[in-house]
Amino acid sequence: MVKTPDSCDVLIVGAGAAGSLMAARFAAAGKSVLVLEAGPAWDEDALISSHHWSRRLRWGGPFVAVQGDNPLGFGFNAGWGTGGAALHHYGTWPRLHREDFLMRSLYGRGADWPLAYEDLLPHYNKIQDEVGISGDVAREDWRSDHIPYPMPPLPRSRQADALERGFKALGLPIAPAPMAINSVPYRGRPACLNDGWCDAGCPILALANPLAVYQPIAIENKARFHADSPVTRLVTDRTDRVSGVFYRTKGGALHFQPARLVILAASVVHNPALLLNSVSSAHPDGIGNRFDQVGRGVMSHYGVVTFGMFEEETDPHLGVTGAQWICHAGYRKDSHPQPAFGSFQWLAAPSIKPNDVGGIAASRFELYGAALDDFVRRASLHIGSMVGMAEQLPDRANRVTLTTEQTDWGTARPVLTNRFSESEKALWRRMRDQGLEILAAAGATEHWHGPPMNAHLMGGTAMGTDPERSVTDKVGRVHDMRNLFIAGAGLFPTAGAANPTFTLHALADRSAAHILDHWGHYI
Amino acid sequence: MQNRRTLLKAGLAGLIAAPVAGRLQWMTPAAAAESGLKLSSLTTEEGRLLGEFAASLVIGAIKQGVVPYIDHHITVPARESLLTLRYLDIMPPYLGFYRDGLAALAAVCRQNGADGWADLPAPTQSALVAALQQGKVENWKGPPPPLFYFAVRSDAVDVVYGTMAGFDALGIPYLAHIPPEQPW
Repeated sequence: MVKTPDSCDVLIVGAGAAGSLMAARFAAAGKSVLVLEAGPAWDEDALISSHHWSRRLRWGGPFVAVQGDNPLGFGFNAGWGTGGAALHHYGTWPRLHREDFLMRSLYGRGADWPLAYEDLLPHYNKIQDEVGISGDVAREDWRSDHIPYPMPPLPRSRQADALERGFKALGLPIAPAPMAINSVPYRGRPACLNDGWCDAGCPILALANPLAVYQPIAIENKARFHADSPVTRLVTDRTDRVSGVFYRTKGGALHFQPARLVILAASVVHNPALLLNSVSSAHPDGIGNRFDQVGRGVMSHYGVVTFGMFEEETDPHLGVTGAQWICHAGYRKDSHPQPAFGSFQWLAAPSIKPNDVGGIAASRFELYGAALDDFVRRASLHIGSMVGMAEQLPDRANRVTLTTEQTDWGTARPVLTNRFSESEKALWRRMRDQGLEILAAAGATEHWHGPPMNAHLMGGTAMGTDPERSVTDKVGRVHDMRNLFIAGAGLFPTAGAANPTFTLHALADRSAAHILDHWGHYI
Repeated sequence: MQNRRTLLKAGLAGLIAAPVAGRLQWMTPAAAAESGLKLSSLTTEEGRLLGEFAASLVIGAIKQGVVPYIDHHITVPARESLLTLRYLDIMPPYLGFYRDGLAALAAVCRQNGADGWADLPAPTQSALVAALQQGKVENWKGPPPPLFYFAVRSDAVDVVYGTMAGFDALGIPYLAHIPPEQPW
C-alpha cells in the first residue's frame, strides 16, 4: 500500500451530478478538491449516437445484486464514470411539489423532510439560471412560484401534437416538459438539434450533463478528478471524524488519501455500501449506522410506458428522450381510488428509436419474425408513447445490505432488495389505465402498455431530524460524524413522482453553501 | 480520458476484433458473419443454434451478424460489453447465461425430435416461442425462459434495426451527433 502524502480540503466520492456540483462550489471557494470516481473518465467525444454504445455509460463496476418481490433495476439506472448517471439522464427537470416535503404531516405516511420547499426554492432558482431550463412555467398550474424558465420550450414534434389531443379530450392539463436542454443557445452552449439521442449522452452539451456545466467550473478552479479510482473504505481517526479514504487504482493498488472533509456522492447503492463497509471498533455496524438506518428506505418511481399507433406520421425518432409534455394531474396523493395512494406524473412524447429496452421493438414483447418486422416498420413512423412514473413510499425493508461475498475491489458486495406495496401497485394500475384512456382519446388506432418497470433510485441515506430514523441531518451531514456528508438523491426521505435530478442539484447547492458558511465548524 | 478513438483502440466499440489471415482486424458483426469468422467463446454448435433461433425471432439476424456480435460481447469484460444483458442485472460473466440458455434450447429441440431449431416444424417453433414468452417450457434447465427470449431477441433487434443501415431500411434518418465510425 502506498500512502498518499498530500491532504485535500474536500474529498468527493463520485463524479456524477451531485459530486460535480459540489466540486465546482468548493473549488470556486478556494478549497483544494479531489474527486475520486470509480469508473472511467469520459469526454463528450465518447458520447456516440447509438443505443449499443450508450450501454458503456451504465454501471460497469462489481456486480450489484437485486432481489425481492419486485427487484429494482440497478444496471439501467446507474452510471459509470465521470458524469455518473447524469451523463445518460434525459434532462427532465420538474421540481418536487410542496406537499412532497410534508408527507408525514399531511398524510401520515412516509416521512417529512427536515426542510421545506421554500428552503430549496432559492437553490432551485439559482441552479435553473446556471444550468438553463427550457419550459413554460405559466402552464405548470401546480406551481405557486412562477420564476420564468430562462429559455422557451423545446420545439414540438408531430408525436406531441397527436398526444396533446388525448390530454385535451380528457381535460387533463399539460405543460411543455421542463427540460435541462437548451432550446436556444445558452451560456455558451448550443441549442438542441432534437435528434432524440439524449440517453446516449449529449456530445454537443445542449443537455446539461455534468460534463456541460459543473465539471468545467470545477476544473477551471483547480479541482482534480481521478477516474478509475473506486473508494473502498472510510477511515476514522476519532469516533466522530473521517481522516481519509482508501481507494484503488488500475491494477488494484490500494492508496490512502487524507482529507479534511469527505462527501459521499456515489450512487444510492454505493453510498450506503461504503458506510456499511467501513466497519471499525468505533463503528461496529458501519459508519452512521448506530440506529440501523443506513441503506434503508430506498425508493424508485414505479413506471409504465403506454404506447399508441396513429394513422398520421408522428416522427417518433425526433425530439428528446425525456418528454415534450408533462402532466401532473395525477399528483394529488389522496385523490385516487383506494387503496391507491401517492402521486404520479406523465412524461409524454419522448423520442423513441427502434431498438433498446425502451425502444419500439421491445414495446411488443410477444411479436417476432414477420409480425415483428411489420410492426417495427409501421411503428417507426406512426408510434406515440408516454412514460408514467408513480411514487414509491419509503419502506424500511426496501434497502441496501451487504453480502459476505467479496468484490474485485475487496469490499463486501451490496444487494438491493425491493417490494412494491399493494397501495403502490394499485396506484400503478390507476396510472396505466389512465394512460391507455389518453391514447384512446388521442385517436390511437391501437394502444397497449409495457410491463411494470422502475426509473430513478432515491433514499437509502435519508436526511432527517431524528438520528434514530434518518442517516443525515438537514444539510447532509452524517449523524454522529463531524466532517462526513452525503450528497445526491440518496438523501431524499420521500420520492414524490417528479424526476429527481433538479432536486438533488438544489439540495447539493444548499449543502455546499451551508458547509462553506460554517467551514470552521466542520473541519 | 475515454473518447471515441481510445475506445476503438481498446475494443469497446460495437465492432469485433477478429483474426483474419493471421492479423487482428476490426469488422462489423455483419462482416464477421459473412467471413465465417471462428467464434471466440461459443462453440460452432452453439453458434449455429443461436443464429437459427435469433433469425426466427428477428428476420435477417444471421446476415447482420448476431452470432459474432453476441460471441464477442460475452467474451470481453462485462464493463466493455454492449449487450442488453448489461441493463438486466444479470451477473457476469455473460457467457454462462447464453451457454445455459442454448443448452436448454438444444435439449428442447431434441425432445421434439430435431437436431436444431431450424429443423423444427414451424408450428412447433411457434408453440415453443409462446412457451418461452410465458415461462412454461417443460424440462427447461436454463435462465428464466422469458429472459432468455428477451435477451436474444433484443440482441437480434440491435444488429438488424439498431444500426445506421437498419434505420435506413426502416425509412427513418439516423441523425447522429457523433456517428459510429463503422456502420455500428
